[in-house]
Amino acid sequence: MKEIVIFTDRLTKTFSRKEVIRDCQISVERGTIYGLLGKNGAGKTTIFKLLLGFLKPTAGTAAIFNMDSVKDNAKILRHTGSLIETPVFYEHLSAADNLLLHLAYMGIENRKVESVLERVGLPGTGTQPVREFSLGMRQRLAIARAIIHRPEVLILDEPVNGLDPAGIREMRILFRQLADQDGVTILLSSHLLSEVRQITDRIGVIADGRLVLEANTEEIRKKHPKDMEDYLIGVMEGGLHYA
Amino acid sequence: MHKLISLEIRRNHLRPYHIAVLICSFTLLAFHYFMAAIPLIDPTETDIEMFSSYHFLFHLNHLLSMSAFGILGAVMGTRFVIEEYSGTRAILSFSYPIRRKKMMGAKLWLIFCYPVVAMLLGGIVIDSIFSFTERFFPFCTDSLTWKTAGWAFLSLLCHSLLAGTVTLISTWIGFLKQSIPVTIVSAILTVTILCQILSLTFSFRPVLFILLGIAVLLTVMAVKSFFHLVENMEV
Repeated sequence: MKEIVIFTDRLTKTFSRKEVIRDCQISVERGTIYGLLGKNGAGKTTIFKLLLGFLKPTAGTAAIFNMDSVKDNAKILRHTGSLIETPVFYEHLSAADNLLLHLAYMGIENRKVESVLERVGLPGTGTQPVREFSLGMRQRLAIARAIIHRPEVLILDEPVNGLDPAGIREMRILFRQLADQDGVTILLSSHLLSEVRQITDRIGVIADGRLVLEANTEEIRKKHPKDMEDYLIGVMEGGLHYA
Repeated sequence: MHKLISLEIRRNHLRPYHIAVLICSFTLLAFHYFMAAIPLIDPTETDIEMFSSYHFLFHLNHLLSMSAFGILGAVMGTRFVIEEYSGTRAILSFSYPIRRKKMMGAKLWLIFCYPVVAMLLGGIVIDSIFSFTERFFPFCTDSLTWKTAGWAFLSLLCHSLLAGTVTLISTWIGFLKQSIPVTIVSAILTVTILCQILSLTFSFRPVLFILLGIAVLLTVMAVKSFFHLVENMEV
């Protein structure tokens, strides 16, 4: 069995007395891609934020490399790349300067950014100010920022948002390469079920703050060879009853 | 800390603030001469004799400088602190592997030091230019002694530090409300209150030191609160 890199144990988060996440148990093995699915407001982003220490759990724990997301936050962030919600940049700076600034904060110097920009499909845009970037270009740049410090873990919330079909395909190939060749562990969410089906090794479905299904993508595909997407939508909508 | 401050400067250019400092300094210098020239407008008026003394003119200029640089510092605070920790931008700040307290400390140090140093340097230049031109075109009836110059420097230093405390206190109030207008309004209200109290310094100098002590105490409390808030902040 592979090493468990991302792990939550009875993770619970309450906002204004409302339980957004309840007793959530997720485990992601090293070098695999885990897709977290759920309706809007199901709690996917909240789980990501809890793992990255942006939110503090009401109960339970969230850990990466056996390090607590709150206590060992700085250590976790050193090994993690992330993309949460709408990507934010320093608009007046160029794409390259944004990446170099990120590297400086990560404590990394003398790394060329052009190769990463090429890798995400933004060759020759290094000197362009970010304020001139389209939505799709921003998303690509955000992915570049998430991977430029060569993290061992990637947490990506809707990483293909705003990308055209070719871009989505490029990112799919990139994520697969990162997992298979570099051993990067990836936890991502997406509304595009076809994408999740194609790219992930394991799928978790969250409904009403609970993890109602967690299974290998291949197993689900075997059980539901023709209606996998319908089945996943059903689980997202119907929650525990459907699963 | 030094590296974090340089990174702060790298991501938020200081050029607009440098320009603002230059504009403030030139305006304050012009105002200095304008105040000094008031007794010349109506030489028969005896109530405005005080405008002809170095002590009064320096002190008045330091009060105005404190107001200008305190508000300028608060504007910096909105950019370096309030904006950085509001909305989705906070996620970016928190995604770096640096302790939140340390990052906040670097920002606070920068927005405190900038108005203090700018006011101190600007004040030295303004006071020096005025004192120098007094040799050729005298406005003041008294003469500039070492004692007056020493007090002027001490007063400038204290007022510069007060400008820094205004910056931090108003930024703290704005941070509590996560609001840029609240920060600016707080800075204006704070300098108004300070100027009212500091006008007593014309007749009773220790007021300056007492007020500086109180302001430093409040600033230390504000900084501690900043650290507590940022450590427990959820985004």
